[in-house]
Amino acid sequence: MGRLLWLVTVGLVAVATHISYILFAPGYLFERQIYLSTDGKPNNTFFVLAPEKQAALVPTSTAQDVVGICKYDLQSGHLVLSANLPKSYWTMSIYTQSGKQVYALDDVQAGSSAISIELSQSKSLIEQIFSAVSSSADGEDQGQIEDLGWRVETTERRGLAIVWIPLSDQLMRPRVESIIKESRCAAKIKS
Amino acid sequence: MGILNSGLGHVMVGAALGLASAVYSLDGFGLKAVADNGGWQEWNLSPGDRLQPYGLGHFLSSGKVPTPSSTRYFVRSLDDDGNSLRGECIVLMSGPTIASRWWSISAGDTGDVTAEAVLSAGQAMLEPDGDLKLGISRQPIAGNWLKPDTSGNYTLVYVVSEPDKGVDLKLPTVKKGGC
Repeated sequence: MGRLLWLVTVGLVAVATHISYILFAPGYLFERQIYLSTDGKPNNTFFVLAPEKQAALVPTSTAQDVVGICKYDLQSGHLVLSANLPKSYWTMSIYTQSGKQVYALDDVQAGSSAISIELSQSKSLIEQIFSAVSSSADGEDQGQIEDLGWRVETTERRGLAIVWIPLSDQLMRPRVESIIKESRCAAKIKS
Repeated sequence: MGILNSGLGHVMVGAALGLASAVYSLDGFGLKAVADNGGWQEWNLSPGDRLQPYGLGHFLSSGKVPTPSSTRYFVRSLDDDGNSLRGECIVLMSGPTIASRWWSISAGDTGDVTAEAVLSAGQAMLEPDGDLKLGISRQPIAGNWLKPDTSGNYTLVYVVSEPDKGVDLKLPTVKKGGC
């Protein structure tokens, strides 16, 4: 009986450890790798990754492609990502810190090579309730539309915005890199 | 005191087993076979699928972002007869490419991505019927050629970005041509 109890204990601890590791460890390892891949560059700045770093971070890319990245942190409010892109195939994906993809856009959907995306953190359930109560009390208009391209809400405060431009020839890289370097990723200036 | 020591020992054994099984399962538990396509496999990233945490964990724990939802990411390390893909052998890949905005095929295993051989949509020469014929070998081969970065075992990765809707998912065959 005693032996069975210990076997059950070993089994339960093994299952709990397995599930905990699968759910939480990869996110932590990913966060650490992002820091290493981006050479500790500050948050909320846009930069182009070196060929050996980009293919290590973005599995769909190869060393000859161009990958631009913005590590965002919405602690101080909304963020605006203004991307300058070539008139060729490109994709933009926005991920949360835990690796969940929250947004995707490509050249055909955008219809333009200069795009602007406003990024904000979605409100928690409690914040939504308080916000609804206070706005109905103040008669505030919540439906204001600003002329600022796309608006994206993420569920987490921190994450990554990644622009991937696949190229068929490495010789194209310097030119494409010079175009995409014009892109900006910065906190939204309140008007 | 004896019971306490024994209890602690059992907890540690359980934790070690759980940790080892988790690390091991991240390496292949989230892979699923692609229907009717021999040895090709794909990481399971479908939200809601019970194996999705393993697929997601595989990418995150190796420091990579998961592949975007618009992209298919196929891998294989065996040929159609079940032999390991080895750089010292000639491997022939043939079949139709999937109609898409972009695709690339790479062969490598050293982890040095700048050394991995890549053939992409803009570089490949297709047959008159649209099929791709590709030779993978350390020695040059006429036509489309990929040079693996190792003479040992390697993995083939076939990335298809934004495949056309409703397209037939027929992946190329992979056969050993000699060593």
